[in-house]
Amino acid sequence: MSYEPQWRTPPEVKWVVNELAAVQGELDRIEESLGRLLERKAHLLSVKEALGTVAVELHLPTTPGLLPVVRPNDRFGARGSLRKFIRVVLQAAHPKGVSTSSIADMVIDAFQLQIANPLERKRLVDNTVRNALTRMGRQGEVEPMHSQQEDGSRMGLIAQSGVWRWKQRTTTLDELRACVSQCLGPED
Amino acid sequence: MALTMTRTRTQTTLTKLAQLVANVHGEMTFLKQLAAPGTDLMPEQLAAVEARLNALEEKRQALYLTLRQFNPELDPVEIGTSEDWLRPYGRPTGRVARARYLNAMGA
Repeated sequence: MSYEPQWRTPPEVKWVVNELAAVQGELDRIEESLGRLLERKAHLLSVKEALGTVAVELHLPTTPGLLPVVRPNDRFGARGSLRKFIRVVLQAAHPKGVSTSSIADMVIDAFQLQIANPLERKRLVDNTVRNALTRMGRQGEVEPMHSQQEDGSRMGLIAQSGVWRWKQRTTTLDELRACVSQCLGPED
Repeated sequence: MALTMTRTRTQTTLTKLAQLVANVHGEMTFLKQLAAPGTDLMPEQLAAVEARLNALEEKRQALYLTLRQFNPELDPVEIGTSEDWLRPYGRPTGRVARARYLNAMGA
């Protein structure tokens, strides 16, 4: 039996190669974003010029260059688009819940967001998606399955961290009894 | 005037933008008819009409871009024409207004 030496890649080499690949991947993503952003900038410059022309027609009281700047909330299109999307997702999944992370993935797909690194994704999940879900929860549209009920029990069978469900009003037993007695009519 | 972070689009704004586009369409239609082959305009008058048409074309592109910025689903090409552009020169339906307009343009 001949002995063949086995070549193992030293762990430090493996790490450096892996890191090089990941850094290059992130650089490629940034390059793609830059290309997209430059195109968007060119388009917005032409829109700015057009709006300046229209401003002259509308006899704007001040020159467009002197107007203050505003950073618009535009990521999801029209106002309320994100909540509308979340509503559709949770209604479709009802009676099951959907995790905040899964909702964030669907949002990234649906609105074609460009996420350059994990930190950006975390910000989307923590600041945008979870905030929207919390506000919808306060308005009674959705319920967090990871929260505790008043009696100390949990909504889900197990503690489901970060899972939200569409809140549907369920018929109470009293309402059912009233409905049945209405259908059967008064007892003779 | 308070500026907001969410875009506020109103029907009034849309109506105004559409009116501006209709006026440009109307004026361009009138000038194109004037400059049509077989016209009896003098060369310098024709030059004035063509210069005005070029200026209107730039204005039309700016308005189209603005309207699409307002709502990308709108097609400004489908907006009709209006004669309101003649209002500064008199009654839009009258010939006097057109004559005053051409005089003012130097045509």
